[in-house]
Amino acid sequence: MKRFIISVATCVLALNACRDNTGKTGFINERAALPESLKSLTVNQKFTTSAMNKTAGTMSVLYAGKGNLTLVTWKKKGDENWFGANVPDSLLTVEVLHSPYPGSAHVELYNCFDHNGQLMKQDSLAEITRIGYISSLKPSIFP
Amino acid sequence: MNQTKNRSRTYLLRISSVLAVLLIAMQLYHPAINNSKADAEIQAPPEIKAILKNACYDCHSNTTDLRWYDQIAPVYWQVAAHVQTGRKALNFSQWQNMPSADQKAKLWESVNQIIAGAMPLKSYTIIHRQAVLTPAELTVLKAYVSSLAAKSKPGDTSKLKVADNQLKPKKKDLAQKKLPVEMNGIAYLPDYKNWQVISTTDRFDNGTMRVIFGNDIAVKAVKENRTNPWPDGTIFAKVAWDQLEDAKGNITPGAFKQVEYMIKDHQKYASTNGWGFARFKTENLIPYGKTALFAAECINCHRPMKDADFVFTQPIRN
Repeated sequence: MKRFIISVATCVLALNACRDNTGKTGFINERAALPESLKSLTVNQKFTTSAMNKTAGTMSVLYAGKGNLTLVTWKKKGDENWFGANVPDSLLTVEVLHSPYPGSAHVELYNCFDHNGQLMKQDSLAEITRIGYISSLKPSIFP
Repeated sequence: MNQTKNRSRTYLLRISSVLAVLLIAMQLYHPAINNSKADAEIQAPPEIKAILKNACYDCHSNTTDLRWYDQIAPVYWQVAAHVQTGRKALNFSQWQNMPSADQKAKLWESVNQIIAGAMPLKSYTIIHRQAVLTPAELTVLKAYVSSLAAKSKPGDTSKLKVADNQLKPKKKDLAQKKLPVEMNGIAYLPDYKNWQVISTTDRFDNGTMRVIFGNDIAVKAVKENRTNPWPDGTIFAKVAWDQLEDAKGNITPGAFKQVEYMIKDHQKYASTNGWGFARFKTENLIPYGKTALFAAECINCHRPMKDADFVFTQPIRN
C-alpha cells in the first residue's frame, strides 16, 4: 500500500512538473511587447486608428500625442484561441512622425525603430513613402 | 458457516430487489423529447451535413436519435437535459430562421468549440463514441467554414458608403442622448476610447478588425502578471469595424460595427463565471440582448477559455 501511495504521488508530481502553468503560450502576449526604451511612445497616448496590410501580413496601431504620430507594427499570426482570427505576433517596427504643429502636414522628424528599439536606417524614398502612408491614416470612427 | 452464507445471500437479494424497484420507479418520470418539424434545416454540402448529423444533431436538432440505452432513466434524464439546452443554444433544424450573418457566426463558433474540445460534451461522447470527430472530419469542417469567410474586395463602394454616412454630422450627438443600457443593467461606457490598447485582432471570419481597450485596473493587472484570474474592476472594451481594403492590400477600419464589454466582478456576475457582458451594436449603440439571459450565450462561447479566466485575446505585455 505504501509503495502504491508513493507511486501515485510520484506520478502526480511528475505530471504537474510538466504542466505549463502560464497556459499554452502564457496569458500575456510577450512576443508583441515593445522594448522598454519605446514604451513611453504608446503609454498614455491616444489611440487614433488601426491598420493592416494583407500582402505584408502585418497589423498596426496608430497613436497620437505630444506632437507625435506613433505607428506600432507587428507581424500577424493565427489566433490559437480562435480559428478565424489573427493577432499580433512579433513586433516589427515602431515609427514616429514628429510634427511641431499638431495636425499640420509638415513633418519635422521621421524615425523608425526595430523590435529591439534600435534606430533603423532607411533611404529617403522609403522614408517619404512611409511618411505619406502614416499621414494618410484617418482616425477610426467612434459613435 | 452455512448460516452466514445464507444470510449474505438474503442480504444481496434484498438490495437487488430494492435497486430493481428503484430503477422501475425511475422510469415513471420520463420528460418528453419531441422530434418536431425540421423545415428550416441547414443547407450544406453532404459531407458537412453527415458530420453534423453524426456529432451534433442528437442535441442540436429536432431529429434526436435515441438509442435503447438512452431511453433508460437515469441516463434518459441527462440526455433530455442535454437536448433541451442544446436545442436552445443551437438548432440545425431551425437554421434558416436565423439571418445569414448569424448562421455563419454560429458555424465558426461551433467549429471553435469543437477545436477547443468543449463540444461534443465529454459526458455525451463517453457513451456515444461515434460523435467524436476525427482529425480528418475537423479539417473538412474548417475548410468549409473558411470558404464562408467574409470576402473583401479592394475599394468596396458599399462599405465606403456606410462609413461615410457614419461620418456625417448627427442631429443629436451621443453626449446629449441617454446612454443605452443592456438587459442585464450594464450601461454603455463612453470613456473606453481613452483607455489603453491591450491588443488588436483581424477577424477574417466575419470581415472585421478589432481593438481591445483595457481600463486602468486591466492595464495594471497585465503589468503585474495578475491576469488569471483578472482582478475585480477589470473592464475590457472590444470595438469592431468593417475592413476597408485598397488596391495595395492596405486595410483600414470602415464603419463602426459594435462595442462589447467584459466587466469583472466575481460576486455580482457569479452566474456568468465572474464576468458581466454587454454588447452595443451599430453607431446607434443598440443593446444586443433581448432578455437578461443573453449573457448565457456570451459565457457559453467563452467557456472553452476557462483556463484563461474566460478571456480569448491575450493582452500585449505593457
